[in-house]
Amino acid sequence: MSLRDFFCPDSVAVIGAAREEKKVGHTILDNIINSGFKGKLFPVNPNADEIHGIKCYPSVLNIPVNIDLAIIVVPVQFVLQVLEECSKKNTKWSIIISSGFKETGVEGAKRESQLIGKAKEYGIRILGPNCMGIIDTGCPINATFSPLMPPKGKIGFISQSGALGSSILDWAKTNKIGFSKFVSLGNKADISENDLFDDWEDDENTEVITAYLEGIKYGREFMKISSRVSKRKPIIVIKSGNTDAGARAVSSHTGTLAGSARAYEAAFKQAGIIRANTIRDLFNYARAFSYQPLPKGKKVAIITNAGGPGIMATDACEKSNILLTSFSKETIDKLKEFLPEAANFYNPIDVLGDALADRYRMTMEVVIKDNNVNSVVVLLTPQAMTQPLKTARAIVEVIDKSGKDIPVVTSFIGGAEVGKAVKFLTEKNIPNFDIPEEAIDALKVMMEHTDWKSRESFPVEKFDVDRERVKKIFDRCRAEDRLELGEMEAREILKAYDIRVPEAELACDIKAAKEIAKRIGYPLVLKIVSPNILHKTDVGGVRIGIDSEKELEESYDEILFHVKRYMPDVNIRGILVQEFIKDKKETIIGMSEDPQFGPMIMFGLGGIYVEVLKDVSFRIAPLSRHVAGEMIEEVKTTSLLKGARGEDPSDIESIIEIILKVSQLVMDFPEIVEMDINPLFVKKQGEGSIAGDVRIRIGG
Amino acid sequence: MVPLFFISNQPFSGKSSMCVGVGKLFAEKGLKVGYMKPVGTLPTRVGGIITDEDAQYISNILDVKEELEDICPIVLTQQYSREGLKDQSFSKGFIDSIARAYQRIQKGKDIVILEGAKSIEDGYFLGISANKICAKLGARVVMVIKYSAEIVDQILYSKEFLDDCLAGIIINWVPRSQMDYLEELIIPYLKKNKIEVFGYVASDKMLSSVSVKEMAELLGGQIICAEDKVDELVETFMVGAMGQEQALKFFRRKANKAVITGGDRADVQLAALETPTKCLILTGNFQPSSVVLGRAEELGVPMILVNYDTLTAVEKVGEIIGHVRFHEIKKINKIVEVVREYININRLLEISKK
Repeated sequence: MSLRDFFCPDSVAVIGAAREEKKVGHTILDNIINSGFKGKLFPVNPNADEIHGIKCYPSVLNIPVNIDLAIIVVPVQFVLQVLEECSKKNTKWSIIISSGFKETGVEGAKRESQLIGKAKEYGIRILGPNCMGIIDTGCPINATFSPLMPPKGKIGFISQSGALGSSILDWAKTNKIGFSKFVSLGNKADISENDLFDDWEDDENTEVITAYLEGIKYGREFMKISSRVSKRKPIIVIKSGNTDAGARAVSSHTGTLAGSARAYEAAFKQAGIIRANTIRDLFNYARAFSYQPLPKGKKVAIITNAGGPGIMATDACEKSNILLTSFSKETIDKLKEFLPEAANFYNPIDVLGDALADRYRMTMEVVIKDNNVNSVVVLLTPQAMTQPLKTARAIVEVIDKSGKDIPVVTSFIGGAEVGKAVKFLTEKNIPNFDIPEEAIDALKVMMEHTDWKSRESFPVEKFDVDRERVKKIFDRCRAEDRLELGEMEAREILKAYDIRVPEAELACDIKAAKEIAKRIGYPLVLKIVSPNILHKTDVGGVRIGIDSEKELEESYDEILFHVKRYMPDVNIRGILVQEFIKDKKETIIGMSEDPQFGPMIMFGLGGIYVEVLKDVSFRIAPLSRHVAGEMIEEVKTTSLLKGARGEDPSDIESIIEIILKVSQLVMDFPEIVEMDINPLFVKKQGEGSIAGDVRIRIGG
Repeated sequence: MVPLFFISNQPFSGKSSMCVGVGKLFAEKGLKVGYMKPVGTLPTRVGGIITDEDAQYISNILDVKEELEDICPIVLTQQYSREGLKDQSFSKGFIDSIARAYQRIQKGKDIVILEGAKSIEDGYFLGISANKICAKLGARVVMVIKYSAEIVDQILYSKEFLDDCLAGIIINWVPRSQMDYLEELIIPYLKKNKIEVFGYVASDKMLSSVSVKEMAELLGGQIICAEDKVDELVETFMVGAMGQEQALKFFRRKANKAVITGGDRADVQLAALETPTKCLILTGNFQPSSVVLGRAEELGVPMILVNYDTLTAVEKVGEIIGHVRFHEIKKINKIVEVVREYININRLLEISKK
């Protein structure tokens, strides 16, 4: 559904348009008029004949034409009635500025769910309630209660915080940052970031989508839409509430779970969303994207008139995996023709402190032509002879003349001395950054986006599995009112999904144990089996590396004695006699259900690597083979699996396979809320992996 | 007609539930059912008369119209104990007054269900322990016994104590994980020892649960949202004081629970709301954030605001859950269904006719 009529309606009614200047209903009307809105505007107020010389209507019903967009600013108790009246005027879109809904507690929540129901019935889409409104600089219309209409630009901005929105509008206006659209989401009763991303994909005026979000309601939909849209336009998001304390603040402010920071990180990565950590980052990135073309490669040229900033930029490149390009011989020869001998002809090029605008110009001309250059960073410090404004002009002229489509960013460092130059650069769409690191950071983000856009989408494979068998196990669990599966059941499930588990059999007495041992062969592992014991090791219920029948006898008794002492009333089914896996590395595959995004899968190396170093990676299921491989690559300690210090490399392919099967399992059975294969024993390349132990928990 | 005397060796074994279930099923068969609790242990005052709380409640459910004084002729109050200890002759007439009350109760009845005190020995020093009453009224005992590791010892000991009065037993609260053990070893053993088993019932969390409304009353708390959901039953509880991610993991472990947390912990509250939770108990008398309150209303999960700090609330809730009476319609229906399915009612009827 296109939001065209929502952002640029032919007819707008402001219901609750007030005569008193200080009132929101008055301000909105003022702002619509002042923004140069060209459609029909109808103030509705039963107590006024006219406002600003525009005829007022006592009710929407009295307006002679149909209304495309209703902006509702009446006290909360009248909102439903107004909405009903709008439905009779064929209204399809509404912005509910009024507050008094979910954000106020029980009564408000009831009102909001009533509102949602009614809006559905009438076929009216809602923005808000409890929001600030929208701005479309293309239409143009400013239907917010902020008088600050930003300049026209290519950035679309969505804010879940109204107040932050008004600060940003102010800041954008001051810094001449242009917006295409601005939307304040409010309570997100209906229209959410998903609708807007979806719509802006095809919006000609919006080239960069930005958003400040506190929580996401429909995570999977969000990922689906974002991963499609981000292939066409960059989506930059600030997601707040990433720490425990921050999450608490989000919770009490919005009534939504802030969500796991790790889940957001994974989801954003998989959907190609660019994450900004601060508002400053958000607009740094947005400016870079909206002003400059995308770099076609990772090779950067740096031009500077001072050593210090050049080195800092170089450091930043190295940290961001950006290549400082090596210039062609031709480039270096040409530079040598006019640069003083003391200059540095190699990257970063130092044109020296006495460089006038011309030296910058000539250097730029040479550098921009070099085919080894994918982007240019120009640094400038105001020294005695420096000509900031002239240099800025020179840069713009070179770019214009070159006809090259490569991004150029600048960092003219300073304040008043460089002020005019920076203003000029901004006007000419060259993003200038206060410090070199920010310029590099923006380039890095652009490069990552280039990679993302060129990345194929890989299909999710389907393995041939025995779903019926798993279904039966879950049915039994539910029938018995259990949320946690027993070890034998969990093993069954893995087997049904063709994940190898160690050979094992349950022994009810020592005689049986001995027979099983003969079949499986030593060494062995013994584990207590009891529906009441979830942490077997804690009660002395596990013995490993049993080498002989004598040891088996002793260990068998010991386990029973220990368990009896720790948990005297426990029901013991028997002892599992299990194959001991030799020559292996230990890894972990985990899964937990994220409230926003669904099943999130984790991978890491076992033991201290997960517990102490937290060296793990996360992705949201379902996973493609490519993404599963990425998960393993992302873990720093993965190099230990590749054969460090002359060891044989481990079977990484088999880990990928198991990750994919787990992904399929948790997608097939949404009742699984938690799962851990810990340890997953990985054998030598070609020998596969074996799930040593598994825990599965289902939702109630 | 032989009255059936339902007794237990310990409180909260499910004796009252069995009386209700069996009574309802007898009534379904068209029998006129009488009910009596000879010795009350939960004193309460109804219309100026001191009686037993359960007796009064159950007589209502079974729709028996006799006088409360007859339904529960002796109520063991603190004063009874003191007097009985001071003066041995104090209790002389007790057993006879029970017998007289019984005579009035049984008139026109096809069957009378007697409910014992908390345990077999209750009232022993006053001469009104279960075995004495049995002998006096010519009743047969149906022992309701809660499953435990010592169950076989307990049954054998009770059998010795009750002698021929014991008609048989009902085993209650069997953990599902112990079912195989019970069926394969315990029941055959009891049969060999000539102890009849009328039935055995698996633990049902629902029967040990407490309604949100009752919980709020017992905690002296105030329900501040989702008031249409106060009849929901809480089976267990959890305490939340961690970050939201850990909270979510933790709260997933149990269903049908109450979550106890500070009123100011919006993150924990929302995490609880994401998992199977029947109510939130907010401590410290902190009002929750209005948006969270709105969310709880939206999801239909009541929040109870209490004055206690979290530690005290945990103690109180712990006492409440598992020690509740079944004062909810939902539970009564469930009890009847359980008895219908697992207890051999016809066998009980046969015994009462001998």
